[in-house]
Amino acid sequence: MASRGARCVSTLVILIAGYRLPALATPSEYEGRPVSEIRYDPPYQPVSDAELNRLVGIAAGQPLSLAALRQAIQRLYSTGRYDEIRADAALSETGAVILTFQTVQNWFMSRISVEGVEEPPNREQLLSSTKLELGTRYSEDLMVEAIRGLRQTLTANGYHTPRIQPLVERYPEFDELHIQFLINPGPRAYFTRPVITGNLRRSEGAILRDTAWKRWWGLLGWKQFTETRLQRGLDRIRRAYLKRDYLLTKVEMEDLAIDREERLVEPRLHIEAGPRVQVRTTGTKVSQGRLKEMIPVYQEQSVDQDLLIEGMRKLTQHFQSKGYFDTQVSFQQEQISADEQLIEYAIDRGERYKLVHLEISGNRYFDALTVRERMAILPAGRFTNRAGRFSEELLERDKGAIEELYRANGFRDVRVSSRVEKNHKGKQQDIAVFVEVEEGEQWFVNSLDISGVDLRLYEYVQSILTSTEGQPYSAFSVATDRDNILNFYYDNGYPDASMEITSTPSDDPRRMNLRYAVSEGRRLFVKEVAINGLDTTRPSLVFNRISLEPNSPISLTSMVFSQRRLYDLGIFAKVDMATENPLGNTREKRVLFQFEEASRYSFNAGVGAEFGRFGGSATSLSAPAGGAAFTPRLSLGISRLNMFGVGHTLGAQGRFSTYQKRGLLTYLAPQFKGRDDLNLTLTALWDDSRNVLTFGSRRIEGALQVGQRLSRATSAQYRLIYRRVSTSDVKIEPGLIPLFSQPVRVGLVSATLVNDRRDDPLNATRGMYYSVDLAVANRAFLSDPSFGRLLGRNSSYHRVSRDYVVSRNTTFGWIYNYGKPQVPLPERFFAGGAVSHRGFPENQAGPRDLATGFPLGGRALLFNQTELRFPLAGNNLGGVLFHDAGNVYSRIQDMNFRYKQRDLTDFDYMVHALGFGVRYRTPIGPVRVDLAYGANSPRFFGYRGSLNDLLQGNLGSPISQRVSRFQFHFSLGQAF
Amino acid sequence: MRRLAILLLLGAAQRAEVIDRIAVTVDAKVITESMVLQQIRISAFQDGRDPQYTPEAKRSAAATLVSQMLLIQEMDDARYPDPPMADILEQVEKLVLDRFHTAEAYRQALARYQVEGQDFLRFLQQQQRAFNFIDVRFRTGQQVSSEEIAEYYEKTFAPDWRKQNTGRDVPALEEVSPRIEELLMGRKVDAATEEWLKEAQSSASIRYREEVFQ
Repeated sequence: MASRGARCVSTLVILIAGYRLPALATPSEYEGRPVSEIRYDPPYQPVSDAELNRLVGIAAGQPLSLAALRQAIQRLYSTGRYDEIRADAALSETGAVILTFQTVQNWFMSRISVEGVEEPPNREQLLSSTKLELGTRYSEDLMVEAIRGLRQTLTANGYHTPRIQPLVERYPEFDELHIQFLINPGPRAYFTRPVITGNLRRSEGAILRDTAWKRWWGLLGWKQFTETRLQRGLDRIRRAYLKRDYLLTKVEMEDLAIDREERLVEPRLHIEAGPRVQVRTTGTKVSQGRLKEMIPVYQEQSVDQDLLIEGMRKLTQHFQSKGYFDTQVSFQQEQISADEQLIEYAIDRGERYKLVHLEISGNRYFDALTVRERMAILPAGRFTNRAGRFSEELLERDKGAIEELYRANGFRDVRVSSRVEKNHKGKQQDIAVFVEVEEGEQWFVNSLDISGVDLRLYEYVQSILTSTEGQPYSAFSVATDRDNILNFYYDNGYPDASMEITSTPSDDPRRMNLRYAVSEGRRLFVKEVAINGLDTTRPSLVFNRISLEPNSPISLTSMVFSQRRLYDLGIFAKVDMATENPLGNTREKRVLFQFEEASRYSFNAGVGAEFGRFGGSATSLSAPAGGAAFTPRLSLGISRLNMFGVGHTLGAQGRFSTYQKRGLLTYLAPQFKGRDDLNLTLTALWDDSRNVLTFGSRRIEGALQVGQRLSRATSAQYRLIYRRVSTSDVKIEPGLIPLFSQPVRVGLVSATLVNDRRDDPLNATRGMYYSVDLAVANRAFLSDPSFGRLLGRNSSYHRVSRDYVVSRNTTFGWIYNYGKPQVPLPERFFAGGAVSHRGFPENQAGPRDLATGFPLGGRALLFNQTELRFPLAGNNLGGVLFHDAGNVYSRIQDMNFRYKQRDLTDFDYMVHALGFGVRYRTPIGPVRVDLAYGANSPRFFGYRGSLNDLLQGNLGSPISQRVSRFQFHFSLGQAF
Repeated sequence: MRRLAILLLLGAAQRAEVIDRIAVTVDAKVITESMVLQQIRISAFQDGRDPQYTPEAKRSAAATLVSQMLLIQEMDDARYPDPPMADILEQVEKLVLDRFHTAEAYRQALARYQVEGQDFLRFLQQQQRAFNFIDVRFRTGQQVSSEEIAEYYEKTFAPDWRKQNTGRDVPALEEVSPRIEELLMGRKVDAATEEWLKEAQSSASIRYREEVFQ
């Protein structure tokens, strides 16, 4: 018995050990029994009942299948809305199965914010360190990681005792939550004297100075610790070694010893200065600056074969670009002593050549100009690139580019060969390049079969294809079609769209059959749009600018477009967007927008200076044509963004100089009435200026302007302006003062139409620009004077060769005075100067007072400017030859093309000026210097005496004067 | 007996039991506990041993399923085809003849292991598909150099031969070279597959539900 009992026990042990029963119920117990009921625990489920039934796919009455149950769990989980799913079964009294899905739902992050930290680190860095992504699933693990990330970022910036309190606010109606990290960073730590070890080769004091971690050279202790300061300090140390030819120096940050009690951070640096490395050239001289640019050893701070070869390649290219096409460069590395290395590049430049001739032959499908546009090699020019641009490498690249051009147009078998001829036409240093194109046969698309495209989209998809029947066949076009089709699908809510392309030669020669098999995949729709993070901004302002509607397909283009419109308001520092539950397999998704509002106040201040021929005092009559003068300029401004939460801006701007004092108040409503093409501006202006020497003008003005963009190139502005204009210190014959310079109120209605088709408004090389401005002042608009004003401008730009541009500009203006009083002086045309006629100083063109010689302005103007723009040296320096002609005329009837001035009282003739200018290209437009010579600049009578003499009626004796023939202008931007 | 069945049924009616649940998730895909158990049963059936349901065995089966899932995803993305079912049936016929001798014995064994015949066929089909795919994907580009063959011959093959065949001459390198090359190639393919799997696992979000593996 004992032995039998022992055997039983051992069998049991084996069974338990090796055959432990699973926690799962035995499948066969329930499988095949009918399902009587399906329950959900908790009753609230994050998908609708209909969706739930569809996903579970098990109906009451059906026999239970474990395979179907597995699929149900898979489908539910794929929605992304569930974290846990468990299926429980119980038997009812009838023996049927009651199936219960025990679920734990997911929560999604629809707002993530950080508060309480003084920069650095900034909010963006802190948010990024949390690694939490808007719209994605929330989990406790992610929060732990987020807090760890925040702590690391804060520690890296000297906050060693931060208290981070995460607040999680749940919104069960959307299965969303908002996470706010409230941070009390504590005090920031300070640097303390670093511990520096290693082979330094420099004194510790010098290294310490390089770091700039001390405040005022140590007089005020140490600076606060931030990550940026630490990195900058290390970079400065590296640069200091580099400057002393220690190219291989390794500066490593080994540790940061933190003293939390004393709030000190002690950086521990290890520096291995390494040997001094001299880089030099033999055979020809290369400046140290150039060497540092071209030899990557300097940037990489290491010496290896690859870097040395790269340096060799760059040196070769450099000399080839100078015309030394046979340049040979070699290098050798030498260890002079334990502490010194030498890298020597031996350069044999050879002869200096000039690429004088480039010939392309064999091209029938494309003309030579089209082929040349793809090429980088360039024959020598008269002024620039005087040796041309050529190297074997460039030529190879050009041949590839030409082949690519042909292949993209169906020439699959194109071959491009070249021949370089030295001693071209017997000139030893001239070379010619002959490029021969063998086009081969052109291939075409025989048939295109598109499958898998929804019939409703078929027509559109066809319209965006290039490889259609009969069109040239090329891999490039096919790839373009693929991109176009997939981009179309991605933009219409099909994130998983894919496409398979097959191409097979057809029975016809040189023809291919194409097959595009599209797999559309699931389509996603907008469930609703949710916005978060608005503090003062009205939600309606934001919603009006989001072009995504519920039930519309989720389109990335629409999302980006909406984001751009929101940024265009200028009131948001950050606009983040995401789709909620991006990986979940649900058809409808919430689209989330998270905002960070920008600071509502902005200030600006500027100090500058003006030079020009605007000199002459208010009481002096000695320089009617202006004297050289200088005035400082000061400007101050303040803006209040997002007024009333509707995205409008209120701004105040002041400008002060000797010749102008101006205060401007503006109220700007961009995207007026929710329309991208409209904006509204209200302005109030006070201006006291002497920009016309004849008088001082004081303007108080109120204006309302609606701007409208009619098309990409065309815009219009409609204005209603009221201003009160008065003049002072008028330097004209006293009899005329009542006529021209009485204080008047001007009420103007005006409209401007602008059409700008220039390639670059700052420095146009092709295209056209025109503007027409029409204004009417009338008693009906409560204006004292009644007049109409027309000002039109037309400019065009023509590229005559690769670098030469001819441009011209015509300006026409006419003031029609149809009532009394006369148009006051400040409303008349004053012109001349850097942008209208360079033969005159600023505002010195046109009629002049016969007694004093000061400009009186006119009621008509006509200017024509012609320029030849060309390169002078390098890419940034250009030159201009110009001819300006025209004048401001007394009346339109007086407008003429006469060259000669009849006498000293005749100003209605055409003044011509020839000149030369230099332009230096900068990111904000070219800096301009122009010197003009006006051969027929006007002569006039000036007044010998003071303003008092004039006002007392003492007309004195006139003296003959002349606007200087030579005029000099310095300004920013092209003349037109 | 009938009374006992009714009592059992009534007992069951009073409490709900877990019949399936999520065991592992791989991105948006789910491996349920029943799949893990099925994997244990099928592998045990294939290897002709008793199924083990220990936590370690379950975790190991789950890990195999995770690898399978990643590989299947890769094969689906590459539109790699299934091997023909006729080939699989041939394999099964061979298995029946070699191990079970009769179809009835085979069916009884399947039933004992609680494995459906169709599930086993599908398992074999996916296994074969994976073998083929690995061969195409990871064998391509692998090379075994003559130096590697020579080194293996010198350092491993010859010493092993001498240990196992005392007194007999070691076959010449040329004679065993193809076998060594195949062996080394197999190792390289395995290493490449392992490497790929490691990378795929690190880029996927894989979460084991610990309660299933207690």
